[in-house]
Amino acid sequence: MVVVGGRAAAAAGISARVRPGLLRAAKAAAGAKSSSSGSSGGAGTRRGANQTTADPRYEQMKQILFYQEPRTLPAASEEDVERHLAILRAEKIFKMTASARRRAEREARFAAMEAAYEALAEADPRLYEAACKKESSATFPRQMRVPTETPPTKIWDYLGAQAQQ
Amino acid sequence: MAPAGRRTFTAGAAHGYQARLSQFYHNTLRDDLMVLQYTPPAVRARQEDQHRAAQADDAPSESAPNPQRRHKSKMPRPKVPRSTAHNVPFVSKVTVHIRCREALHNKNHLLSALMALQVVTGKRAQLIRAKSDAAAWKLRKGMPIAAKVDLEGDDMFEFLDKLIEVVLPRMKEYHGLRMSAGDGNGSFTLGFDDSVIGLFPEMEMVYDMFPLVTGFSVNIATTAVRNPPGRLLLSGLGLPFLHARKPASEGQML
Repeated sequence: MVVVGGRAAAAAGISARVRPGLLRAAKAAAGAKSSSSGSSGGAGTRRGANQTTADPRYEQMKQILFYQEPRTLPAASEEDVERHLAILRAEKIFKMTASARRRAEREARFAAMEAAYEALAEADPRLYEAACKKESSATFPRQMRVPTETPPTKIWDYLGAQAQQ
Repeated sequence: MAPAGRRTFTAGAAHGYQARLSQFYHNTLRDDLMVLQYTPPAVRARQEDQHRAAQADDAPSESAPNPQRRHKSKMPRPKVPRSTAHNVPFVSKVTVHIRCREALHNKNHLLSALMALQVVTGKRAQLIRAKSDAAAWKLRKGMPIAAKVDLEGDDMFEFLDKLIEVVLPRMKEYHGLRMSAGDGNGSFTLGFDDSVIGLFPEMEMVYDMFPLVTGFSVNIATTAVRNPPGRLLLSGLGLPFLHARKPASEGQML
């Protein structure tokens, strides 16, 4: 376990990874609460404003956010580390070759598209101009949904346009 | 390879996990965007000249005495780069942001914001401190006042997935982004009020744990350089857009 924030954490008796700045804020809030409850004739506005500090849910949140002990990985032997690095290298090689293949395919598709545009320019200028004009308010239709493993409960939205009105 | 009588299932098993929207983008959407946005460079240059000529009548003269002193809204925008096989628009970052005004008088309310962001995105939120004073709101420089999470990669796509498939349909009377959405440089921001955070699936069980429920804003940063390609990209990922109904005409995009 790593002990950070030295004196504060040691005083609290917790060995946990805690961010020093936020821990100070938490202590200050707790200190303000205890000091204001002690001194009755103190700064009235500040005490009034901190009424909801007593909310127990905020104490729970502080515990969850700042005082939970971090999860640790199990210790790895030398052979484990070697295996891990070998797997990482194999994955990297796989990804690099797949990526290079996809990149080459994409460049071939792009070149084919450019060649098609050039052929169209020579064949029919009117169609070429129409092909080059792009609508600025173009969007994919709602019917083009992102695929899922299973079909949706509502297969087709028959009243889509009417429902929008 | 597979034992006889066993069905193999190779849906991405060799690749490890990849978010659904990310898979869709790389398999399908990317090529579609490449085709839909391509204009031959000569034609594009001509179109841009026409566009600039049409706008030059209203714009002030370019020969300002001191270019550095222009207001940022009048600064020239980055040029649209020539489209290649590899520079199709992509969602680069999503930032979920909660501005907590109640933290001005009670710092503990920031805990609600931090916790909500962690629950909804699955990542640790960052505190944001005020950069300047604002006496009208009793704000001093350095006061923690907001929280945000920056999402990239699979986390980002998972969050967008939840937003598009679960949260937006559950919202009351939400039908889509307007066609005027976008900041002109490819970033899109959606703002939500405090009734929406409870619609996330993770918040259903722990909603009562929050003393303070706030609204939040989602900023989607894309690598598109103008609004139309950005809108096309987001609509492809499933974000709905509100269209004025118009009859189909011959001059439509192919």
